[in-house]
Amino acid sequence: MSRLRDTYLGQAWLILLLAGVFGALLAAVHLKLSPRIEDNIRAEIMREIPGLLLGAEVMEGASITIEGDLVRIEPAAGEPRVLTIVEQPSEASALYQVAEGDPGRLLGWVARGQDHGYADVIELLVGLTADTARITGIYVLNQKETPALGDGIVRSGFRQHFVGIPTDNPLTVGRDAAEAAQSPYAIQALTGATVSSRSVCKIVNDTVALVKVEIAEEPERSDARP
Amino acid sequence: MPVPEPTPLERFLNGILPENPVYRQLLGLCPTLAVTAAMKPAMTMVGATAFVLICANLITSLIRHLLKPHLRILVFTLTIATFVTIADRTLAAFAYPMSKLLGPYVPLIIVNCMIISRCEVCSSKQGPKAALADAVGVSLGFLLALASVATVREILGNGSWFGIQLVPESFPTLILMILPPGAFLALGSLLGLATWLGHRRRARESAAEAGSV
Repeated sequence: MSRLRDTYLGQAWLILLLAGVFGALLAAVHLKLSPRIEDNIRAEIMREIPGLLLGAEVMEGASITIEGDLVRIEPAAGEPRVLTIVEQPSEASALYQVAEGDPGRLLGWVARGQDHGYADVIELLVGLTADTARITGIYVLNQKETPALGDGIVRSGFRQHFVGIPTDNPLTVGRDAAEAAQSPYAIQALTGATVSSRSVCKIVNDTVALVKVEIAEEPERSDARP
Repeated sequence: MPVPEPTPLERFLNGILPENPVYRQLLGLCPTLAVTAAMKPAMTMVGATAFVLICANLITSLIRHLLKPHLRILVFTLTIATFVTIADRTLAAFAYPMSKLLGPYVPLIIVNCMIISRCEVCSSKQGPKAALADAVGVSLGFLLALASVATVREILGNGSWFGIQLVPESFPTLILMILPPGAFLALGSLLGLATWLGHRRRARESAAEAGSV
Protein backbone atom coordinates (compact mmCIF):
# COMPACT_ATOMS: atom_id res chain seq x y z
CA MET A 1 0.00 0.00 0.00
CA SER A 2 2.77 2.42 0.94
CA ARG A 3 4.58 1.50 -2.31
CA LEU A 4 1.52 2.54 -4.33
CA ARG A 5 1.41 5.83 -2.45
CA ASP A 6 5.01 6.55 -3.44
CA THR A 7 4.36 6.20 -7.18
CA TYR A 8 3.54 9.20 -9.37
CA LEU A 9 0.03 7.84 -9.84
CA GLY A 10 -0.43 7.48 -6.10
CA GLN A 11 0.61 11.10 -5.64
CA ALA A 12 -1.24 12.66 -8.54
CA TRP A 13 -4.45 10.63 -8.82
CA LEU A 14 -6.57 13.44 -7.42
CA ILE A 15 -5.21 15.96 -9.91
CA LEU A 16 -5.74 13.54 -12.79
CA LEU A 17 -9.28 12.84 -11.64
CA LEU A 18 -10.08 16.53 -11.21
CA ALA A 19 -8.56 17.33 -14.62
CA GLY A 20 -10.86 14.72 -16.18
CA VAL A 21 -13.97 15.94 -14.35
CA PHE A 22 -13.24 19.64 -14.98
CA GLY A 23 -12.36 18.91 -18.62
CA ALA A 24 -15.74 17.21 -19.12
CA LEU A 25 -17.48 20.13 -17.37
CA LEU A 26 -15.76 22.67 -19.62
CA ALA A 27 -16.58 20.63 -22.72
CA ALA A 28 -20.26 20.61 -21.71
CA VAL A 29 -20.21 24.39 -21.08
CA HIS A 30 -18.52 24.93 -24.45
CA LEU A 31 -21.08 22.79 -26.28
CA LYS A 32 -23.94 24.59 -24.61
CA LEU A 33 -22.67 28.16 -24.95
CA SER A 34 -20.58 28.27 -28.13
CA PRO A 35 -23.56 28.63 -30.55
CA ARG A 36 -24.75 31.63 -28.57
CA ILE A 37 -21.27 33.16 -28.43
CA GLU A 38 -20.88 32.64 -32.20
CA ASP A 39 -24.23 34.42 -32.74
CA ASN A 40 -22.97 37.34 -30.63
CA ILE A 41 -19.74 37.50 -32.65
CA ARG A 42 -21.67 37.35 -35.95
CA ALA A 43 -23.93 40.20 -34.84
CA GLU A 44 -20.85 42.23 -33.91
CA ILE A 45 -19.26 41.52 -37.32
CA MET A 46 -22.46 42.59 -39.11
CA ARG A 47 -22.53 45.81 -37.07
CA GLU A 48 -18.88 46.64 -37.74
CA ILE A 49 -18.67 45.80 -41.46
CA PRO A 50 -20.52 48.98 -42.64
CA GLY A 51 -18.07 51.21 -40.73
CA LEU A 52 -15.10 49.40 -42.28
CA LEU A 53 -16.29 50.00 -45.85
CA LEU A 54 -18.26 53.26 -45.61
CA GLY A 55 -15.95 55.00 -43.15
CA ALA A 56 -16.34 55.85 -39.48
CA GLU A 57 -17.67 59.35 -40.23
CA VAL A 58 -20.71 57.95 -42.13
CA MET A 59 -21.52 55.69 -39.19
CA GLU A 60 -21.30 58.40 -36.55
CA GLY A 61 -24.69 58.67 -34.89
CA ALA A 62 -26.18 56.20 -37.40
CA SER A 63 -28.69 53.55 -36.33
CA ILE A 64 -28.17 50.01 -37.63
CA THR A 65 -30.79 47.28 -38.09
CA ILE A 66 -29.71 43.75 -38.96
CA GLU A 67 -32.13 41.34 -40.70
CA GLY A 68 -30.38 38.17 -41.80
CA ASP A 69 -27.85 39.21 -44.47
CA LEU A 70 -29.29 42.73 -44.77
CA VAL A 71 -27.94 45.65 -42.78
CA ARG A 72 -30.00 48.85 -42.86
CA ILE A 73 -28.12 52.00 -41.93
CA GLU A 74 -29.87 55.24 -41.12
CA PRO A 75 -27.16 57.87 -40.91
CA ALA A 76 -27.54 60.98 -38.75
CA ALA A 77 -27.61 62.98 -42.01
CA GLY A 78 -28.39 61.72 -45.51
CA GLU A 79 -30.29 58.89 -47.17
CA PRO A 80 -30.71 55.47 -45.52
CA ARG A 81 -28.46 52.76 -47.00
CA VAL A 82 -28.96 49.03 -47.28
CA LEU A 83 -25.99 46.66 -47.43
CA THR A 84 -26.11 42.97 -48.28
CA ILE A 85 -23.41 40.97 -46.53
CA VAL A 86 -22.84 37.45 -47.84
CA GLU A 87 -20.26 35.08 -46.39
CA GLN A 88 -18.09 33.47 -49.06
CA PRO A 89 -16.09 30.25 -48.88
CA SER A 90 -12.49 31.10 -48.01
CA GLU A 91 -9.30 29.74 -46.47
CA ALA A 92 -9.38 32.80 -44.18
CA SER A 93 -11.43 32.50 -40.97
CA ALA A 94 -14.26 34.17 -42.93
CA LEU A 95 -14.71 36.32 -46.03
CA TYR A 96 -17.70 38.61 -46.50
CA GLN A 97 -18.82 40.10 -49.81
CA VAL A 98 -20.55 43.42 -49.24
CA ALA A 99 -22.90 44.95 -51.81
CA GLU A 100 -25.08 48.03 -51.65
CA GLY A 101 -28.53 48.72 -53.09
CA ASP A 102 -30.71 46.72 -55.46
CA PRO A 103 -29.34 45.54 -57.87
CA GLY A 104 -26.27 45.15 -55.74
CA ARG A 105 -23.20 47.21 -56.45
CA LEU A 106 -20.11 45.55 -55.02
CA LEU A 107 -18.89 47.82 -52.24
CA GLY A 108 -15.97 45.78 -50.97
CA TRP A 109 -14.77 42.80 -49.00
CA VAL A 110 -14.23 42.13 -45.35
CA ALA A 111 -12.04 39.24 -44.24
CA ARG A 112 -11.64 37.79 -40.78
CA GLY A 113 -8.10 36.74 -39.84
CA GLN A 114 -6.27 35.72 -36.71
CA ASP A 115 -2.83 34.94 -35.34
CA HIS A 116 -0.88 35.06 -32.10
CA GLY A 117 -0.32 38.44 -30.51
CA TYR A 118 1.84 39.18 -27.49
CA ALA A 119 -0.52 37.63 -24.94
CA ASP A 120 -3.05 35.55 -26.84
CA VAL A 121 -4.74 35.26 -30.21
CA ILE A 122 -5.66 38.53 -31.94
CA GLU A 123 -8.66 38.36 -34.28
CA LEU A 124 -9.21 41.08 -36.86
CA LEU A 125 -11.65 42.18 -39.53
CA VAL A 126 -9.89 43.67 -42.55
CA GLY A 127 -11.90 45.76 -45.01
CA LEU A 128 -10.84 45.91 -48.68
CA THR A 129 -12.08 47.93 -51.64
CA ALA A 130 -14.09 46.13 -54.36
CA ASP A 131 -10.93 45.69 -56.49
CA THR A 132 -8.96 44.61 -53.37
CA ALA A 133 -6.40 47.31 -54.20
CA ARG A 134 -6.64 49.19 -50.91
CA ILE A 135 -7.38 48.55 -47.25
CA THR A 136 -10.48 50.42 -46.11
CA GLY A 137 -10.00 49.81 -42.41
CA ILE A 138 -9.44 47.23 -39.68
CA TYR A 139 -11.43 46.27 -36.59
CA VAL A 140 -10.14 44.24 -33.64
CA LEU A 141 -12.66 41.51 -32.93
CA ASN A 142 -10.82 39.82 -30.11
CA GLN A 143 -7.60 40.49 -28.20
CA LYS A 144 -6.10 39.97 -24.76
CA GLU A 145 -3.01 42.16 -25.17
CA THR A 146 -1.33 43.89 -22.22
CA PRO A 147 -3.75 46.44 -20.73
CA ALA A 148 -2.68 50.05 -21.36
CA LEU A 149 0.05 48.98 -23.83
CA GLY A 150 -0.81 46.35 -26.43
CA ASP A 151 -4.54 46.78 -26.05
CA GLY A 152 -4.07 50.16 -27.78
CA ILE A 153 -4.54 48.20 -31.05
CA VAL A 154 -8.31 48.54 -30.53
CA ARG A 155 -8.19 52.35 -30.47
CA SER A 156 -9.19 54.26 -33.57
CA GLY A 157 -5.93 56.26 -33.51
CA PHE A 158 -3.93 53.11 -34.28
CA ARG A 159 -6.49 51.54 -36.62
CA GLN A 160 -6.66 54.78 -38.62
CA HIS A 161 -3.08 54.17 -39.86
CA PHE A 162 -4.35 51.28 -42.01
CA VAL A 163 -7.06 53.20 -43.88
CA GLY A 164 -6.32 53.69 -47.58
CA ILE A 165 -3.01 51.79 -47.69
CA PRO A 166 -2.46 49.97 -51.04
CA THR A 167 -2.32 46.20 -50.88
CA ASP A 168 0.32 45.65 -53.59
CA ASN A 169 3.09 45.39 -50.97
CA PRO A 170 3.07 43.90 -47.46
CA LEU A 171 2.80 46.31 -44.54
CA THR A 172 5.84 47.00 -42.38
CA VAL A 173 6.13 48.45 -38.88
CA GLY A 174 7.94 51.71 -38.16
CA ARG A 175 9.03 52.18 -34.56
CA ASP A 176 8.19 55.88 -34.57
CA ALA A 177 6.48 58.49 -36.72
CA ALA A 178 9.72 59.34 -38.60
CA GLU A 179 10.38 55.68 -39.47
CA ALA A 180 6.74 55.13 -40.47
CA ALA A 181 6.76 58.23 -42.71
CA GLN A 182 9.55 56.75 -44.87
CA SER A 183 7.25 54.24 -46.60
CA PRO A 184 3.60 54.32 -47.68
CA TYR A 185 3.35 50.73 -46.44
CA ALA A 186 4.68 51.44 -42.93
CA ILE A 187 2.44 51.51 -39.86
CA GLN A 188 3.59 53.43 -36.81
CA ALA A 189 3.94 50.99 -33.89
CA LEU A 190 2.27 51.66 -30.57
CA THR A 191 4.75 52.91 -27.99
CA GLY A 192 5.80 49.99 -25.78
CA ALA A 193 3.81 47.50 -27.83
CA THR A 194 5.89 46.76 -30.93
CA VAL A 195 5.07 43.04 -30.73
CA SER A 196 1.30 43.67 -30.73
CA SER A 197 1.65 46.17 -33.58
CA ARG A 198 3.76 43.69 -35.61
CA SER A 199 1.20 40.93 -34.97
CA VAL A 200 -1.62 43.12 -36.28
CA CYS A 201 0.39 43.95 -39.43
CA LYS A 202 1.21 40.28 -39.95
CA ILE A 203 -2.45 39.28 -39.64
CA VAL A 204 -3.44 42.01 -42.10
CA ASN A 205 -0.70 40.95 -44.55
CA ASP A 206 -1.54 37.24 -44.34
CA THR A 207 -5.29 37.81 -44.62
CA VAL A 208 -5.03 40.26 -47.50
CA ALA A 209 -2.60 38.02 -49.42
CA LEU A 210 -4.93 35.04 -48.97
CA VAL A 211 -8.20 36.66 -49.98
CA LYS A 212 -6.65 38.68 -52.85
CA VAL A 213 -5.58 35.42 -54.50
CA GLU A 214 -8.95 33.79 -53.82
CA ILE A 215 -10.91 36.71 -55.30
CA ALA A 216 -8.55 37.03 -58.30
CA GLU A 217 -8.81 33.30 -59.03
CA GLU A 218 -12.61 33.44 -59.12
CA PRO A 219 -13.62 36.69 -60.85
CA GLU A 220 -17.29 35.70 -60.76
CA ARG A 221 -17.18 36.34 -57.01
CA SER A 222 -16.95 40.03 -57.81
CA ASP A 223 -20.38 39.91 -59.47
CA ALA A 224 -22.46 41.09 -56.58
CA ARG A 225 -25.78 39.25 -56.63
CA PRO A 226 -27.55 39.97 -53.40
CA MET B 1 -3.07 24.10 22.59
CA PRO B 2 -4.09 24.59 18.95
CA VAL B 3 -6.11 27.72 18.17
CA PRO B 4 -9.69 26.74 17.24
CA GLU B 5 -10.73 27.56 13.66
CA PRO B 6 -13.24 30.45 13.34
CA THR B 7 -16.93 29.50 13.15
CA PRO B 8 -18.85 29.97 9.86
CA LEU B 9 -20.41 33.18 11.22
CA GLU B 10 -17.01 34.54 12.21
CA ARG B 11 -15.65 33.65 8.77
CA PHE B 12 -18.58 35.44 7.13
CA LEU B 13 -18.24 38.60 9.22
CA ASN B 14 -14.42 38.69 9.05
CA GLY B 15 -14.50 38.66 5.25
CA ILE B 16 -16.61 41.80 5.03
CA LEU B 17 -14.62 44.32 7.06
CA PRO B 18 -12.00 43.02 9.55
CA GLU B 19 -10.27 40.94 6.83
CA ASN B 20 -11.53 42.92 3.83
CA PRO B 21 -9.56 41.58 0.86
CA VAL B 22 -8.78 45.02 -0.58
CA TYR B 23 -8.69 47.44 2.35
CA ARG B 24 -7.13 45.08 4.91
CA GLN B 25 -5.19 42.47 2.94
CA LEU B 26 -4.38 44.54 -0.19
CA LEU B 27 -5.32 41.61 -2.41
CA GLY B 28 -7.23 41.74 -5.70
CA LEU B 29 -5.82 45.18 -6.48
CA CYS B 30 -5.59 44.54 -10.23
CA PRO B 31 -9.39 44.47 -10.78
CA THR B 32 -9.84 47.14 -8.11
CA LEU B 33 -7.74 49.52 -10.17
CA ALA B 34 -8.62 48.33 -13.66
CA VAL B 35 -12.39 47.91 -13.85
CA THR B 36 -13.67 50.56 -11.45
CA ALA B 37 -14.08 53.47 -13.88
CA ALA B 38 -17.84 52.78 -13.65
CA MET B 39 -20.17 50.75 -11.43
CA LYS B 40 -21.48 48.35 -14.11
CA PRO B 41 -18.14 46.72 -15.05
CA ALA B 42 -17.08 46.77 -11.39
CA MET B 43 -20.23 44.90 -10.29
CA THR B 44 -19.89 42.42 -13.15
CA MET B 45 -16.34 41.73 -12.00
CA VAL B 46 -17.57 41.26 -8.41
CA GLY B 47 -20.22 38.81 -9.64
CA ALA B 48 -17.72 36.77 -11.66
CA THR B 49 -15.17 36.76 -8.82
CA ALA B 50 -17.82 35.79 -6.25
CA PHE B 51 -18.97 32.88 -8.45
CA VAL B 52 -15.39 31.60 -8.81
CA LEU B 53 -14.61 32.11 -5.11
CA ILE B 54 -17.76 30.33 -3.89
CA CYS B 55 -17.28 27.36 -6.27
CA ALA B 56 -13.53 27.05 -5.60
CA ASN B 57 -14.01 27.29 -1.83
CA LEU B 58 -16.78 24.66 -1.84
CA ILE B 59 -14.87 22.19 -4.04
CA THR B 60 -11.59 22.49 -2.14
CA SER B 61 -13.43 22.16 1.16
CA LEU B 62 -15.17 18.98 0.00
CA ILE B 63 -11.89 17.37 -1.09
CA ARG B 64 -9.75 18.82 1.73
CA HIS B 65 -9.02 15.40 3.28
CA LEU B 66 -7.66 14.11 -0.04
CA LEU B 67 -5.28 17.04 -0.61
CA LYS B 68 -1.57 16.33 -0.47
CA PRO B 69 0.28 19.30 1.08
CA HIS B 70 2.84 19.60 -1.74
CA LEU B 71 0.20 19.37 -4.49
CA ARG B 72 -2.49 21.55 -2.93
CA ILE B 73 -1.66 24.75 -4.87
CA LEU B 74 -1.97 22.80 -8.13
CA VAL B 75 -5.44 21.59 -7.12
CA PHE B 76 -6.49 25.12 -6.11
CA THR B 77 -5.28 26.56 -9.43
CA LEU B 78 -6.95 23.83 -11.47
CA THR B 79 -10.25 24.40 -9.67
CA ILE B 80 -10.08 28.19 -9.94
CA ALA B 81 -9.11 28.09 -13.64
CA THR B 82 -12.08 25.85 -14.43
CA PHE B 83 -14.63 28.17 -12.85
CA VAL B 84 -12.98 31.28 -14.30
CA THR B 85 -13.33 29.74 -17.78
CA ILE B 86 -17.01 29.00 -17.09
CA ALA B 87 -17.57 32.59 -15.88
CA ASP B 88 -15.75 33.99 -18.93
CA ARG B 89 -17.74 31.91 -21.42
CA THR B 90 -21.04 32.65 -19.65
CA LEU B 91 -20.37 36.39 -19.85
CA ALA B 92 -19.46 36.07 -23.54
CA ALA B 93 -22.75 34.23 -24.16
CA PHE B 94 -25.16 36.32 -22.10
CA ALA B 95 -23.45 39.71 -21.61
CA TYR B 96 -21.29 40.03 -24.70
CA PRO B 97 -20.72 43.83 -24.61
CA MET B 98 -19.68 43.61 -20.96
CA SER B 99 -17.42 40.65 -21.74
CA LYS B 100 -15.72 42.75 -24.45
CA LEU B 101 -15.45 45.72 -22.08
CA LEU B 102 -13.80 43.66 -19.33
CA GLY B 103 -11.47 42.05 -21.88
CA PRO B 104 -8.60 40.15 -20.25
CA TYR B 105 -9.64 41.01 -16.70
CA VAL B 106 -12.11 38.12 -16.44
CA PRO B 107 -9.50 35.47 -17.39
CA LEU B 108 -7.13 37.28 -15.01
CA ILE B 109 -9.37 36.29 -12.06
CA ILE B 110 -7.31 33.07 -12.18
CA VAL B 111 -4.34 34.95 -10.72
CA ASN B 112 -6.37 36.90 -8.17
CA CYS B 113 -4.54 36.05 -4.93
CA MET B 114 -7.69 36.78 -2.96
CA ILE B 115 -9.24 33.50 -4.18
CA ILE B 116 -6.23 31.24 -3.76
CA SER B 117 -5.62 32.74 -0.30
CA ARG B 118 -9.16 31.77 0.80
CA CYS B 119 -8.56 28.20 -0.43
CA GLU B 120 -5.30 28.11 1.52
CA VAL B 121 -6.52 29.82 4.70
CA CYS B 122 -10.06 28.51 5.02
CA SER B 123 -11.52 25.96 2.65
CA SER B 124 -8.60 23.50 2.70
CA LYS B 125 -8.93 23.37 6.50
CA GLN B 126 -12.64 23.72 7.27
CA GLY B 127 -15.94 22.15 6.19
CA PRO B 128 -18.23 23.34 3.37
CA LYS B 129 -20.39 25.45 5.70
CA ALA B 130 -17.46 27.55 6.88
CA ALA B 131 -16.01 27.63 3.34
CA LEU B 132 -19.29 28.91 1.89
CA ALA B 133 -19.71 31.50 4.67
CA ASP B 134 -16.12 32.62 4.13
CA ALA B 135 -16.56 32.91 0.34
CA VAL B 136 -19.79 34.90 0.68
CA GLY B 137 -18.25 37.18 3.34
CA VAL B 138 -15.09 37.84 1.32
CA SER B 139 -17.19 38.41 -1.82
CA LEU B 140 -19.23 41.01 0.06
CA GLY B 141 -15.99 42.60 1.26
CA PHE B 142 -14.76 42.69 -2.35
CA LEU B 143 -18.09 44.16 -3.42
CA LEU B 144 -17.78 46.93 -0.81
CA ALA B 145 -14.25 47.71 -1.95
CA LEU B 146 -14.98 47.81 -5.68
CA ALA B 147 -18.28 49.64 -5.18
CA SER B 148 -16.59 52.33 -3.06
CA VAL B 149 -13.78 52.93 -5.57
CA ALA B 150 -16.15 52.79 -8.57
CA THR B 151 -18.64 55.14 -6.90
CA VAL B 152 -15.98 57.78 -6.26
CA ARG B 153 -14.55 57.43 -9.78
CA GLU B 154 -17.82 57.36 -11.71
CA ILE B 155 -19.42 60.25 -9.82
CA LEU B 156 -16.35 62.50 -9.94
CA GLY B 157 -15.23 61.46 -13.41
CA ASN B 158 -18.54 61.13 -15.22
CA GLY B 159 -21.15 62.72 -12.99
CA SER B 160 -23.14 59.48 -13.02
CA TRP B 161 -23.65 56.36 -10.90
CA PHE B 162 -24.54 52.99 -12.44
CA GLY B 163 -25.03 54.88 -15.71
CA ILE B 164 -27.65 57.21 -14.16
CA GLN B 165 -26.71 60.85 -14.68
CA LEU B 166 -26.58 62.54 -11.26
CA VAL B 167 -25.43 66.02 -12.26
CA PRO B 168 -26.30 67.98 -15.42
CA GLU B 169 -24.03 67.04 -18.32
CA SER B 170 -22.85 70.64 -18.54
CA PHE B 171 -21.47 70.29 -14.99
CA PRO B 172 -17.65 70.07 -14.99
CA THR B 173 -16.29 66.60 -14.22
CA LEU B 174 -12.82 65.35 -13.32
CA ILE B 175 -12.02 63.24 -16.39
CA LEU B 176 -8.79 62.19 -14.65
CA MET B 177 -10.83 60.05 -12.26
CA ILE B 178 -12.04 57.66 -14.99
CA LEU B 179 -8.51 57.42 -16.44
CA PRO B 180 -5.91 55.02 -14.93
CA PRO B 181 -4.34 57.65 -12.58
CA GLY B 182 -7.82 58.24 -11.12
CA ALA B 183 -7.90 54.62 -9.97
CA PHE B 184 -4.71 55.08 -7.94
CA LEU B 185 -5.91 58.40 -6.52
CA ALA B 186 -9.31 56.97 -5.50
CA LEU B 187 -7.90 53.73 -4.05
CA GLY B 188 -5.09 55.54 -2.22
CA SER B 189 -7.47 58.06 -0.65
CA LEU B 190 -10.02 55.42 0.36
CA LEU B 191 -7.28 53.15 1.71
CA GLY B 192 -5.96 56.05 3.78
CA LEU B 193 -9.47 56.78 5.05
CA ALA B 194 -10.11 53.12 5.95
CA THR B 195 -6.78 52.87 7.79
CA TRP B 196 -7.39 56.14 9.65
CA LEU B 197 -10.87 55.00 10.71
CA GLY B 198 -9.41 51.67 11.87
CA HIS B 199 -6.71 53.39 13.94
CA ARG B 200 -9.24 55.76 15.47
CA ARG B 201 -11.54 52.89 16.43
CA ARG B 202 -8.69 50.92 18.00
CA ALA B 203 -7.48 54.01 19.88
CA ARG B 204 -10.99 54.52 21.30
CA GLU B 205 -11.26 50.87 22.29
CA SER B 206 -7.91 50.89 24.08
CA ALA B 207 -8.81 54.17 25.81
CA ALA B 208 -12.11 52.63 26.97
CA GLU B 209 -10.27 49.51 28.20
CA ALA B 210 -7.73 51.64 30.11
CA GLY B 211 -10.60 53.64 31.62
CA SER B 212 -12.42 50.51 32.80
CA VAL B 213 -9.22 49.13 34.41
